[in-house]
Amino acid sequence: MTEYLDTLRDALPWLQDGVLITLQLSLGGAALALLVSITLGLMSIAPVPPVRWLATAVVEFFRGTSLVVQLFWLYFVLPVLFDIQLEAVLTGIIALGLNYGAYGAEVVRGSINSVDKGQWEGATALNMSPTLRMRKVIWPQAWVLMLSGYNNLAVMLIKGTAVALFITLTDLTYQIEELRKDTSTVFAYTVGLLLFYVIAWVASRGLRLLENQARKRLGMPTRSAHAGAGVSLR
Amino acid sequence: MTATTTSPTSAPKSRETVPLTRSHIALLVSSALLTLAAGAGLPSLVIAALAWRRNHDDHPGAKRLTHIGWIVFTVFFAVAAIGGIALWLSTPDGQDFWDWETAAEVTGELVPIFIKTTLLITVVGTAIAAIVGLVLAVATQVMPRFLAAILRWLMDFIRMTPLIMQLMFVYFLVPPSWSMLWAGTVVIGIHYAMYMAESYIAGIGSVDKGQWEAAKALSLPTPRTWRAIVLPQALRATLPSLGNWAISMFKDTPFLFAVTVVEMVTAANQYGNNTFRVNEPYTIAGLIFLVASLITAVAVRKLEKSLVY
Repeated sequence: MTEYLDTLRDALPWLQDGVLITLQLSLGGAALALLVSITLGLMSIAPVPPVRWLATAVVEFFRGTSLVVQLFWLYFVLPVLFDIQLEAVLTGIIALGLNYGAYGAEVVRGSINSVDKGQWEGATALNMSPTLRMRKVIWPQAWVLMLSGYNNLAVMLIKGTAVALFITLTDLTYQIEELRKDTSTVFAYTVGLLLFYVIAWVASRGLRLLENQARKRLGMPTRSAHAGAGVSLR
Repeated sequence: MTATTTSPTSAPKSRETVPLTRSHIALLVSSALLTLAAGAGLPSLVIAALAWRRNHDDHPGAKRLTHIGWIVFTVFFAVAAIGGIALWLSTPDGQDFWDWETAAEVTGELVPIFIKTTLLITVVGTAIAAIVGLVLAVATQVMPRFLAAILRWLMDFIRMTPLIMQLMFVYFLVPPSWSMLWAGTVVIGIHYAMYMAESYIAGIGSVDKGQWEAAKALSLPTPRTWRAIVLPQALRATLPSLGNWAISMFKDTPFLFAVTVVEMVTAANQYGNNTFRVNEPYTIAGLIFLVASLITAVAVRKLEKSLVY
């Protein structure tokens, strides 16, 4: 066991590199996913039908195909088809952002739609413009619901970064595989799974704090760590 | 189809022309345009025409047909668009970007693999996840608080760590003589069991408190209360999200790539390595996924509707 720990200490710089790539993919992917989800989510409730159709088509496409297929397509097919070779990390961020952004768009759409009808009518009765109504009345209430959905998505996205292995990135999964060769399977993978768990736990807890803060602002009761964990991605 | 006809026969004949929905008109126009441009819009145009005919006596049926028409239109539009881009890009000199012969060959190779492994993994994995998830969910509710907290933490741990890493872990742990297809299916099943358990727990929580109290007042034994009162109601609330997890699982099957199960994306990958053609295998693998998950989504929505009532 002690020799394993020594090996682990020697491997720390590489592990650090791996964690760094995983964090880059997670944060970059999450930022892009947030942007994509809000854009597509707002488009899917737009008053102009063609805009709605476009959003639905894009969302269904990215939700319908698997993340691995999209990643392969971006990394292997795009260079042949359009002569664009993206950097591996960037490819990972784009694939993760588009895939989880499409799931997020449904979260945004669902959250906005589940804001009480009376709130919409009240804001209209007060002669608010649609933009003001969305900004001041609907969005703050939808945001609380959205954060709960984003919490699940964030954990999924962090887990999804492990596919980076398939496009020759030396992320955490790869470094753990290297560590396994010098130590034992159980040791290396316990370290790896724990590292991933810590990253995901911090993200989940942070979003839960944000959600509870937003709930407090609206005078709603706060929720436990497990709330919404079983809500499926649809 | 005739059973769902809602317009009563006693309705006055003079009002039979219900206006077409905007969606229907859009479908007619876009299908016609696509038919003129590439011919690929013909199937949805036929469906739109059928819906038009039906609109006179069965408005909801026509709406449903329009819906199906849109799905068909999307699929054919995707195929036509990819084909069009490929044709537009293909150059007379050197290697073509898209070769229909290769595409046909790849399709012939991938579809049986898709049916054999991807579907098998999804079906068996869903069964494992649904059963293990239910057992875990009930366990967290009946165990002493301290043990339940430990179990809950373990479930969180499995739920919040990557499936690929778990698959690789098991791959190196089990003896090489074992079938990785089955080991991988069990790992996927257990991974998703954690998600399904959370859904079950939420479903159990949604059962009215009065139901428990009534069961207690009737002095029903606890196991029977679970079996006959709580679980049937909880399951009804949970089933739609179980279906959605099954779809997620189905899209995660390429992860078995990591453990060398010959599976659709792996097969596409191998095909690419052997023939140095990557466009056709990946594109067709993606299209198969898209079509299959659209069909699954529609099926789940149907199931959901039939369970609510």
